[in-house]
Amino acid sequence: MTAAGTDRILGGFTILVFLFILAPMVSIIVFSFNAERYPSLPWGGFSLEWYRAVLTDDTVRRGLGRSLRVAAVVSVIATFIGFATAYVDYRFRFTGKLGFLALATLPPTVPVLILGLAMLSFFSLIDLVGTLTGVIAGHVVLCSPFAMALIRMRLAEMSPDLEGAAWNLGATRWATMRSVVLPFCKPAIFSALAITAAVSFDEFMIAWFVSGLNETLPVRILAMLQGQVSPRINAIGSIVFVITITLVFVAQVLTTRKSDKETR
Amino acid sequence: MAAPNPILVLDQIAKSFGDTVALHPTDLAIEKGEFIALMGPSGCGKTTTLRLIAGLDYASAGRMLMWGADDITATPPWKRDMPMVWQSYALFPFLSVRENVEFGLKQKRRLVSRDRRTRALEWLDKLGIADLAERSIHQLSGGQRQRVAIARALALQPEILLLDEPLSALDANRRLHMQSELKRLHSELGITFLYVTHNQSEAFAMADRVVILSDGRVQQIGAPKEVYRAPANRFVAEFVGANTILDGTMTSSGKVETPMGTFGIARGTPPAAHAGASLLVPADRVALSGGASGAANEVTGEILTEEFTGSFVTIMLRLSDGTEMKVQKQQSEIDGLDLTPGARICASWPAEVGYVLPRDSGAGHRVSN
Repeated sequence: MTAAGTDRILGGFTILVFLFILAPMVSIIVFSFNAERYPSLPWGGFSLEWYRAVLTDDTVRRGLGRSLRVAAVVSVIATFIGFATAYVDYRFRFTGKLGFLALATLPPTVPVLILGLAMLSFFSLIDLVGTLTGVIAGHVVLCSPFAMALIRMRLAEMSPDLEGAAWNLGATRWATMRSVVLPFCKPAIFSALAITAAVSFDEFMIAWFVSGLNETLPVRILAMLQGQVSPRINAIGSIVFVITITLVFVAQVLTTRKSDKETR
Repeated sequence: MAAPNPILVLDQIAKSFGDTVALHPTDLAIEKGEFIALMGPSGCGKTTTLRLIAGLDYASAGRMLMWGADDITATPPWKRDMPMVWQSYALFPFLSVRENVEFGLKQKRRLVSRDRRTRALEWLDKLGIADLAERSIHQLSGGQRQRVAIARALALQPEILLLDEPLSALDANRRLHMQSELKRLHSELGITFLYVTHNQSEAFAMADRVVILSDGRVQQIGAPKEVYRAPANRFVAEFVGANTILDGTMTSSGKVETPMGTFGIARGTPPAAHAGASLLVPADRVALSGGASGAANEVTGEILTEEFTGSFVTIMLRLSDGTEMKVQKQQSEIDGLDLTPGARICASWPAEVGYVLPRDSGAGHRVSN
């Protein structure tokens, strides 16, 4: 077989794989604008009815509001913890460092079901069940390792002489942190904010166990699905999809831009 | 140099990392305004010494005094006034060239924005890169980064400038050019330069004094010429590399007996009779002739290689015991000699240039151990 023929087959196969992955999302978006009640072809005509229904539904609006609030707070706290952990790893050598790093990266490797259950039983001891604070605490645990991983990658590119150079030029430890380490990590910090916000915004299991009556949007969606299959789900799905993909896209742009710009 | 006090004194300064000794207790007095080079092979302790002086590491023992009185042994680096030019340049990639130079003026000198700018541009101009002020660091070549690094350190107008192998990343031409530029800056500014390098020609070309280190110990401190002509021990002689070293034993009549013959000596530190001795013969003092000349200090050897460097020719001979002898001659002095590899030739030197050292002196195998 010729090389060009192989290329064409591989290209076709790649397109098929992407179609397969994207088809459900595309169908959700397409049918969210469908005037018909049931997602069937042919299309019943363009309509914003389901978006109107969703945006006027108080439970959905409150869920969305809670999810956005939680995501905002979680992204800030998780990125701060992630930065601090990554910097400790970069800056210091100490016994038990391997254990420290293993602990710091542990949460996403625990099945979320277990994590959610554990948090439910622990939070009930300290009266956090049913509060947004509880959801935030749970999401911070889950999200911090992602922030750490991103910032750690960035710090690995920082010349070990850079901090020394700042001290040598009269900057104290704090001034060095403010004027050298943070500016150097800025792209990674912003992408960590975006990624952790996206993870928190989408997270269902912990929120389901912990949120109680303070339903976040994913919990609300499941509750709606259990009641009835309504095209409103398509509209909510499209909104969630757009928010998440925007955050991930922002993170992606920030991460790739820094790497082709700086060769140290 | 008649300063009342040395600008910086290391008093029995030592550094260990765990069980590894990086620097044995070391004394060094640095005079105001001198250009002093610390050199030695990698791992000899030269960079450790520089980092201790900058305060980037703290000494395990000993004291460090500024102006003979001010103890800075435990002073954090940001309170010392010794900017450094790094081997990696260590420029801040997220700042422009001008902002890099302003960094120390802001952090250390606390100048207001306008004064910082003026001073930064002034120094960029002195280093011939004023037109690059608003560029970002990754747009610069290696040589340009080097100049930014020097400008950033000198803009603080310090008493002491530390340089850690600043030229090692440059190509040969640019290195020579920067050498003369550093030398010019040193004489113009009149400040102390403390220069670390593994390259002996670089150190000899620029420094007033060189400190030769090996295995964390100072081997010799002196003017380049002194180190060159009168190495303190065998390690220094080998490191400087300008001599042929003939190993033998000391005779009771004060000569060195080697497999090639017994040779007279005039200078050096002769070991006791019958002890191992090394005779150093400077490469530029050897005369070559086709047949025996009847000189007192003469050996025969076989030509190994002949190499032209400018107007000089470096000839390597292999002597009867396998020792390689280095001879440096002007082209005109060797006209008419057969220098094809394998040819036999006689080499002689005047007795007064022979320099003797105990054979096992220096570096790892010290006499005192």
